[in-house]
Amino acid sequence: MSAKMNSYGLQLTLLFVLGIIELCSCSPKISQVTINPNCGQYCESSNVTTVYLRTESSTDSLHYVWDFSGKPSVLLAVTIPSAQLEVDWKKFLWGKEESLKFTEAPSYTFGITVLKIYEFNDVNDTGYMDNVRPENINVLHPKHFRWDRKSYSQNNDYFELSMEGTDYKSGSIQRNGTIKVLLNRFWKLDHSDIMPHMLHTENATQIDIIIDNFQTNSSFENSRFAVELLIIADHNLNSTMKIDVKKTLDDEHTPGIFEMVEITTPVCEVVNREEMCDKRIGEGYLQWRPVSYTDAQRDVTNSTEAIHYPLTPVANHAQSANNSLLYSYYGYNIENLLMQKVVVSLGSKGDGFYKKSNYSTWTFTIGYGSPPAEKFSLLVIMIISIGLGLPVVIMVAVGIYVCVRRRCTRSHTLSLNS
Amino acid sequence: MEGGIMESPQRTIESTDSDEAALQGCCGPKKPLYRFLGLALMCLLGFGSYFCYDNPGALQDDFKSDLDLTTSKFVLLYSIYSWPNVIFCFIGGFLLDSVFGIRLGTVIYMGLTLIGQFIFAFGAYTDAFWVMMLGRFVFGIGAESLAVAQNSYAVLWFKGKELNMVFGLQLSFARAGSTVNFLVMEPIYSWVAESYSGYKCIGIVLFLASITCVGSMICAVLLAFMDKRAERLLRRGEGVTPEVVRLTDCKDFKGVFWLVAVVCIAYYVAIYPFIALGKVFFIRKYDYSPAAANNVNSLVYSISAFASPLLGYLVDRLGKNVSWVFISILGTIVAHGLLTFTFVNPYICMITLGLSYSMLASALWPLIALVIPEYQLGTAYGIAQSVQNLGLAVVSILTGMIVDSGGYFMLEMFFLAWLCVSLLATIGIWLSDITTTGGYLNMTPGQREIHDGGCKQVEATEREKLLNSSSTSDLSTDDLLLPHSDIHIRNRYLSRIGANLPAASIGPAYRPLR
Repeated sequence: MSAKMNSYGLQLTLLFVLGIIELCSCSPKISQVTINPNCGQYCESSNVTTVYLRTESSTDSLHYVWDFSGKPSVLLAVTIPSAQLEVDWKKFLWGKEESLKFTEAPSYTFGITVLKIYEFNDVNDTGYMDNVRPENINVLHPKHFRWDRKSYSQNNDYFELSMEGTDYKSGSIQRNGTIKVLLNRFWKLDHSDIMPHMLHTENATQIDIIIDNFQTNSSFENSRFAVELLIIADHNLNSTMKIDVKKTLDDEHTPGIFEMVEITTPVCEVVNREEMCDKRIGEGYLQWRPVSYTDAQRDVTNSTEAIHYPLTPVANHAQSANNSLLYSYYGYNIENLLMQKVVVSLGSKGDGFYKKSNYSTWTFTIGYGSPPAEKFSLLVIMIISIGLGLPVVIMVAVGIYVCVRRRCTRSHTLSLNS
Repeated sequence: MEGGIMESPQRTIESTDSDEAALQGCCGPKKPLYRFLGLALMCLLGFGSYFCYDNPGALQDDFKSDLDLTTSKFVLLYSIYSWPNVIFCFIGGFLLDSVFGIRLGTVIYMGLTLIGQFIFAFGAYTDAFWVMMLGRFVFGIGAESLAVAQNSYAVLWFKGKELNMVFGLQLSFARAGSTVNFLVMEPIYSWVAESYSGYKCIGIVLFLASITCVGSMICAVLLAFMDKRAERLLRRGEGVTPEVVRLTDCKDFKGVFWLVAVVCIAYYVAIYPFIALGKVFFIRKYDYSPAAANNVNSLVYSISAFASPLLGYLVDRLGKNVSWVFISILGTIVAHGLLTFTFVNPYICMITLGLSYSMLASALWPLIALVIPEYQLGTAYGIAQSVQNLGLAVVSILTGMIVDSGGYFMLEMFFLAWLCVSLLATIGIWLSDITTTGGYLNMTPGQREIHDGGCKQVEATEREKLLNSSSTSDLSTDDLLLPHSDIHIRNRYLSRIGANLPAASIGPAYRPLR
């Protein structure tokens, strides 16, 4: 399957016009997806997957680059409409700085890299990783997986890419098992098909990570996994990102989950001890429901928590970002940008640890603009209005009827007696 | 059903001297002591079955490990209890009316409950799951029909004055039975586990639990003797030709009864299935610890244990049952609404829910006794309980699916929709009651007395006329029950000449009997 795909999938351009007429912007958008743009034979031989997704509107272009040649990374850039991506493949595959650039300098960029995957021994079954002793933590480097492109597809709603990381080998350590990553670039505002059915805008990419049947450290009794993300944003070095947990009333789309975690980049930042507010229209964000599913059948009974920890600053930007798309794009300039890390551990107290199901998921979206907020669905509004409206209408009608009838009968009786 | 049955108004004429003495003594069936004793027995009657019903729940972990049960197998122990009762409750109630009579019926149903619990315990003792299932099946048939019999007893003894409170008290005892079970079963299990282990231990524990059923059995027998004595002394039912109860009678039940049945379904599906799933809801939405979530969740039951008799007493004094039902449903809608659309402290929501639920139980169930003649009460309560069981059985399956696909938010919407249905049904009850009886169900006790008194007077005069007059063929039962007035006479005249009667003068089609 994958071999067949490689043969014609390498230099493939999918071009189509999306005539979606949005309420806000009535201009049609042109979206274009290219796998390994202008790479040809070079990438074919070396199992490279770099996907370039470009959406052009009359005012700007939104570019996404998904890369699995180094650490799995996603880069988002906003440019003037005509800008294109240029890759110097030789340098890029060597991980050299500035081997990847846009023909016009972007007005905004935002990116993430899966920095590390942790396996920790949750001795006391707390679900929390922050008080686990160092000897009970193993680090797995995403670069040391073999990343294969399993499939991709597209329709009017999204472009989807399925990747699998296998054959983990780092020095003497070898692990069996798979890390599956499913990426979706959505073309319109909707809920995604897979649980937790995240609401996404037309400016978002959803990343779904599954740690499937992964071999755990044999000396760890109570293994759980955690993912560390590196986040970089085109903001002042002195500013900070913000991680928020929002309570929601509505768990209609993600049954049993009443929270939404958001990492937002600063609109206001302190420059020279003065607060400066950004004039840019939007900013990059990450958003997820704090849930991890423990079975391919994703439902409430097969769910546990995805626990996040505070954002931490990164000391050496270039060193952290090396071997990734982010370093290839930003180069030495990376030191001058806002960069932070976040860890999300999968599992919670009493769920039986990873060994119970050998399956853990985490799903998040990365997007540009402001994070979308859930609204009540049409069904809910209908139930409320009918449920409350009907009794009121009936009671009013009955009230009027009774009044009228009383008046009638009274005059009736009077006439009888008179 | 039309016309009802009439109590003999001259009940003391044939009393013998000894009966007279018994009536006047402190143990007379009309004296508070006698009635109180009866009430206590009536309440204890249900204790055993409610205690044993939740035995598996209280020992859930031990059941699973000792008998090697999966969760789905464990749940079967409850399904086999509820599903058959969708039909058996109705049959049980009908047999109570038509074949057994209340005294024998109660003893038989209590016997079934006891035997069922024995079979269940024996099945556990021999580690035979199918025997356990059989036991639960027999137990279920007995216990649910017993509840019907319990209702009938309460109506027979207390209708008119204290019925609402008695229904409330019975509910409290049911809750008490279930609560005591949850408190004592674990200690009993650990005590037995010192000398036995595995499935034998579970078996012994269940045999011990069946002692409560034996106690209830004794209550049933005592109550039968007391009721027999009361019947003899009060000459209850004398001079009344026994009505033949047929299964087809229920098609003649008044519309109001079916609306009450709709409330029974629509209201209770928004309570029990919610509580079944409530614990996880509180953990998820309000970040409660499992223990705290359990506390909030069980608040409804603990409140109802205390509030039901008190609210029942209130309804007894104030009457106006339909209004109370309406207010209870509104209160429940508010409570569910707060749980759905706000993050208000769930204790406030659950207290509102608990009070509303207790009020509804006290005000709704006696309505059936007001609209159905006494000789069909068993059938009527059986039907109400059957449809309630059906609703709960179906909805319990649905709720699980709703949570999986639409979350707790949609589940709450589902409950709110059902509550709106029950609100509409209540409006329907009120309307049909106003149009048929001038609002008898929503009267205060005083007004009801006047209404009943009026009816009795009319009945007496009409009887006299019936005996004297030779041309009675054109007297409808409605005529017998209506107060005499010039309008009434005019209507009779109009009907004789074949003119249409004004709609307002269509009288009650039934007569409340006590």
